Amino acid sequence: MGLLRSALTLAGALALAVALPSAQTFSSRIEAVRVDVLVTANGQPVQGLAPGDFEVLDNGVRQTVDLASFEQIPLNVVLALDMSASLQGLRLGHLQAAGSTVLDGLKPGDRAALVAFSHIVSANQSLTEDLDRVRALLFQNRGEGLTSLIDAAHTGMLIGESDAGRSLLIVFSDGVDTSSWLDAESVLETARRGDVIVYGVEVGARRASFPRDLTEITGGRLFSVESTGGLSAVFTKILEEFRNRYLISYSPEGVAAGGWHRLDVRVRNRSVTVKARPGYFAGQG
Amino acid sequence: MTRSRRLSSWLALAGIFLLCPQFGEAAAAQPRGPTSADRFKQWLEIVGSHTPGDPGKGAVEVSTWSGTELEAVVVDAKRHARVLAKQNLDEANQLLLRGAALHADIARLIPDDTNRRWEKQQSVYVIKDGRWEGRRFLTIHWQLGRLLLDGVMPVPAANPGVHAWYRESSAELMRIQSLVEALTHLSRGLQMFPKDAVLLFYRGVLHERLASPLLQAGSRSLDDDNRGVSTIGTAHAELTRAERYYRDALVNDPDHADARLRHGRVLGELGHHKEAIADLRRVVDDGASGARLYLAHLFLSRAYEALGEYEAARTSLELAAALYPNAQTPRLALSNIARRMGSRAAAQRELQILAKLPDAERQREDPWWDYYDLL
Repeated sequence: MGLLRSALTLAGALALAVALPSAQTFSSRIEAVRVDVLVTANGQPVQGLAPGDFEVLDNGVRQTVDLASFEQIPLNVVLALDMSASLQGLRLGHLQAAGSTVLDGLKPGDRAALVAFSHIVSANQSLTEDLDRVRALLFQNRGEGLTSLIDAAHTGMLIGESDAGRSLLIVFSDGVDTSSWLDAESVLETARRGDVIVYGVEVGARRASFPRDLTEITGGRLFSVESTGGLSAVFTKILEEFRNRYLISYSPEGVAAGGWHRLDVRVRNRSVTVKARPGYFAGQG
Repeated sequence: MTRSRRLSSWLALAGIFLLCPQFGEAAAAQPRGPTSADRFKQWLEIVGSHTPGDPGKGAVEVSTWSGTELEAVVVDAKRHARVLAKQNLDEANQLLLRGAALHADIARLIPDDTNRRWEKQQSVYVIKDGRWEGRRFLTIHWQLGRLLLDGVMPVPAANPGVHAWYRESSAELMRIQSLVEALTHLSRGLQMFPKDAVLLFYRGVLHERLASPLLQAGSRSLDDDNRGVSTIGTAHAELTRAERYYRDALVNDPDHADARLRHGRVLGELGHHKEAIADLRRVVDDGASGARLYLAHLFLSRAYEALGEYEAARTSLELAAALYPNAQTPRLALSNIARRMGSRAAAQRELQILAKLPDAERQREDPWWDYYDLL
């Protein structure tokens, strides 16, 4: 486990930053960019793809993919769960059960953390393999207060970034933000510069733009459900889907070092759906 | 603010704020009962014996009367006052002022039922955590108080008692977050006292609240059939109105520190960051302390950040954090700025501090959470 984490660190975090003067092009193959990619056909993950099956355009420049792994790499899973006043009784019970289901689905070596939020953002632990501790915290929380969704998403992403492994942030809310201090745009900017994949789950008829934008920017997905009754199934699906993503890497060539890099990831000669973050920032973390 | 106060505010949650279409029917006509003359006589006796601030037996009795009966009582009271004024103007006005005090106490102290009592009664939406959860009727007693005071002679605006009533009752309506009633109340109050910095300030606070994410979300949660009659504008429109009222309050009272603090915040929200900084710096330089100073530093940080002055923003946040070490807002903001400045390590340090804050709200004391409740 420790060895694997070291290897990941050496390979560099996703969208690895390189500190080169602007307008300079990448010249070294040591620096690498890693991209987390979901490939599906008819809604099912596609397995067995090799590096040569992927086509990556970095700012429109075709790159050579060195590696495409489909391994069961240990995960960091951060649950950011809305526990405001609108989540009480049965609905809170459904949410706690869904969170617990995710913890049940983790494997040895995986780590988890909980951000329980109302207007209070409670993140009193870092990523841990002690899943029982996370579960205990999950069931300690009660539904009360307002909803600081944006503040919580920011906190969840920071926790996800605290480790070089693959990080999944699951953000759940049954409402819209009513009390955050941080503004959506600056948190979306953090998401663009980060490497955490965000999946969102929202309940009810109301649709806010922030969860949609956040999941789009990070290459994740947003699930909308009618009631909390089906949350466990959705959370399980998210975890399975995240495990079935490819991690591809390449050493950028022929592109400027700094700034925003638009990414376009495709699979050659296959009728599949590809989902990946739309780009990354280089030069600054 | 105490936890219980904050919780009660959430329950009210700026709670009742949007004018909505009338629903339900007025209570069925009462069986044949007292005549209007009987009611007026009763009312005179109750007003004469009422102790302001006490929800006594008389006030409870009046609270059970129908809107039509009460409207007739007010008409009779104003007619009676006009006659009385020919002998004793002060006594006539005192009657109207005491009547208004009685109705304000009924509105404040006696729980209203949800039945419609009067065809002119307004109904409003109840909002909780950004979503509308039902409707209810506003009490009619604030309106009755205003109608009585409109009869004060020679003109209500010349009477200090009327002025005091509007100030005190406006403060109460803002405190209980009855925003639709406060809007009507402040409109009438400002017609009479257009240069009153206190009323202008309340009106600014009212519009700033209507611009809050909580109430904007509540407004968006209304279905299409209802949205058309909402009294709430867009966040930008409400902030623009708030700015105007705060500015007018400061013209009439340049030392109104809370008006300056909020004016600074609203200017920043409207994108006038340099002007915001000027106001907020003055709040700091004028010796603000406690929650007011904390909020000034927070709002300064936001204005500096918007101008790309991240170091200044960071300094302001550190000052805020020093005032309220257990508050989460400066820590979140510091981690965000660190991230924007490209320092993951600094962001992680702030996260570590945030993680060690106590979970209990009381121990996390953060005046930002109470900003929309504070007056």
